[in-house]
Amino acid sequence: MIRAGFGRPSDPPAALLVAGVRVVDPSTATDAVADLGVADGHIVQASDVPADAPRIDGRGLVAAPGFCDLGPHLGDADDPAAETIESGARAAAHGGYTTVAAAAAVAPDLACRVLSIGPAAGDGVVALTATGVATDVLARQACEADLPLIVRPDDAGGVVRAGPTAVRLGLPGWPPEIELENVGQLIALARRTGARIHVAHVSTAAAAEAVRTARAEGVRVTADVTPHHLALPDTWVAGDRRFAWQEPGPADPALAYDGSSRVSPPLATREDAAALAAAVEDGTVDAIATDHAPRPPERTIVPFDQAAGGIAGLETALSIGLAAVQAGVLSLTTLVRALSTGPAGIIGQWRGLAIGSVADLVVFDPNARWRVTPTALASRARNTPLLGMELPGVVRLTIADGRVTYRA
Amino acid sequence: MTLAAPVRTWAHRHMLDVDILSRPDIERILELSEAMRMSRETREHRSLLDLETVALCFYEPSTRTRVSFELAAKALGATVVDLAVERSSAGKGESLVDTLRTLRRVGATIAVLRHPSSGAPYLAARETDLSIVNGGDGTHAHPTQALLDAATLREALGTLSGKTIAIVGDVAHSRVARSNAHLLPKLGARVRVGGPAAWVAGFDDWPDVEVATTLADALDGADAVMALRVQSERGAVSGAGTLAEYIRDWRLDDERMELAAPGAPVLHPGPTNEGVELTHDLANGLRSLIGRQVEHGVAVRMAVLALVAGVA
Repeated sequence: MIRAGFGRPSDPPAALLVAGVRVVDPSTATDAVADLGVADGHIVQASDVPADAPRIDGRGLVAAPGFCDLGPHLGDADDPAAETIESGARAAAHGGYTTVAAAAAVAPDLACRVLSIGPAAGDGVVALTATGVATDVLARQACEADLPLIVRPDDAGGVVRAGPTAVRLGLPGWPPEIELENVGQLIALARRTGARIHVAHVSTAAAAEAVRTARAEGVRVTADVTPHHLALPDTWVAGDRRFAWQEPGPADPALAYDGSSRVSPPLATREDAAALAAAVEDGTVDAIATDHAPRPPERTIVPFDQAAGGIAGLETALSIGLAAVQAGVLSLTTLVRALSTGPAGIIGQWRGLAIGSVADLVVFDPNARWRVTPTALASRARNTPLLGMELPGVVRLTIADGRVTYRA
Repeated sequence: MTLAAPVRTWAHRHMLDVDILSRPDIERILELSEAMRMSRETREHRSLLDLETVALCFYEPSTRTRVSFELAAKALGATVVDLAVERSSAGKGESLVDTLRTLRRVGATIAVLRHPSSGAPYLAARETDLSIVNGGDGTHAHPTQALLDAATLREALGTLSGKTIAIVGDVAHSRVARSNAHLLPKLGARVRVGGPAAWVAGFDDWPDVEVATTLADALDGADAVMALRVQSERGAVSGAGTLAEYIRDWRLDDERMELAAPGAPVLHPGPTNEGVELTHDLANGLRSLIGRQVEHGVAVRMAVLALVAGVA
């Protein structure tokens, strides 16, 4: 159960002290134990926190800039009952997110700041979006508006990655070469137009390498990966529940063909997952983006090839990342960067914990463990193959734009 | 003092595929199948399933599998209901899981499920309280077909140990090939799959399976040859040339069977497209075990139903 409190922007500004917390702030390359003070919604010296403000024992906890997600689906367009913008925003706050960039009608008073993205520039729009391929016209519009162009993969992405798992399960295989072709076109577009193009949800080593090479040549291209492409290999569709960095083992037939393990692009191989983690670590990939896609049960508890793709991921991204950190696949500072300053920077948002900044932060216990159950999730959606698993990483406090939005 | 005979328990409530079966599990099914086959005349097992209701849920057309499951269930005394998909709520868009839960509520205990989606029986097993027997799912698995193939091959060859079984045709789209590729190596056989390159793609990575892309390589010294149905209803001719090319390069006939071991028999899961996968003469000649496969089919399904019901 979430014994929680969710806050709103209309609440009074936060004032509290987190004592002896490990502060990880990529904006200043800080990783040190300190007392973190917040007063009147701003980061202050510990001595400037009012004496009657709550004091949190921060020992064993990590404080980081608030997380930012690029392009989560806050509702199921086909079924609003699967998620409302209210429940989606609470899921975000519960996951440590203070900001999401989403194509959603923005309600004013949510547990999470929602920045607008869409197909056209306009008031408050922080990025243009396209699916599959993007045109020169759109890229030039992005240039003129000085906005990034976020290009999501096409949803016609096959059922499962082509390879031994697809053959064994008798499912249509998605050829990974498609992604390299698409990313190659996007890089050429960025080169040709000068637009800042963000490639969403890279899932292959080859595409990550293409981005690495293009960036080295000065092309303005950025990329993100999802937590599930980093951590859940395609054998999850067969019922395996070991992370990509663990030794593969026998699949559990009771978990095979789970519709909630269908995503677009399909889950990656172990080798690609390792290459994606390396790309996050070396900065080729700037961000981890959840691709949060809430679905109602009637669209996931169906034969696998009929399942609506997507994973509800806002509340498990940090935990998957911390599992990778504990396995030595990512460093904690890389994880924090990929969840906070990395994605925020792409949409022109500054993030940091320097004295005087507006408080926009998350405090989490990296070692506490929790079990992913429907009642442990603030999202209405339950479509995640992590259901039933125990994961590390519990968010204790989220402060967005100076207000407490989640407090455990 | 006399010792009670050890109770033989059966660990599997469902029959989803043969991949999780151990060699002793498989031996037990085949032994029981043989006992069922020998006693069909005496009807010794006629009340074994009298407390069970078997629902036949065929979301794809089928004659031999559906009829042989029906006869198997009735031979063991079960009540049988046939969900005529095109006349039922399933045909009105009711979800698979809802249909199966309804069948459970009206008293069905075992569902035999055939479905065009790979993995549908796994969903059914997870989401309902029915015992699920996979009657063929998409291009994934057909466990009772592989078991009856093994029973037929053993009867013809004596043992499968060290024998080479060639499986020829549209392997990529075949659930029969996949289940046999799991099952036959567990019984000591070498499995060789052969067909146009697009129809055997990806099978290089399948454990214990060899791949051949010419008929001569596929049949070379094979102790038995299994022809697969050319699944034109699943769009399978695509990617592997024309039907005429398939017939020219791959159709089995008596002359081409000389490439296999002397006297090697031919099998086919049916229904055959005579003149496409094999000639009429081969299908109906001395090498053909196609009729024996059908006969073993009922007995194997009796054994499987009795085991998943926990009464054998």
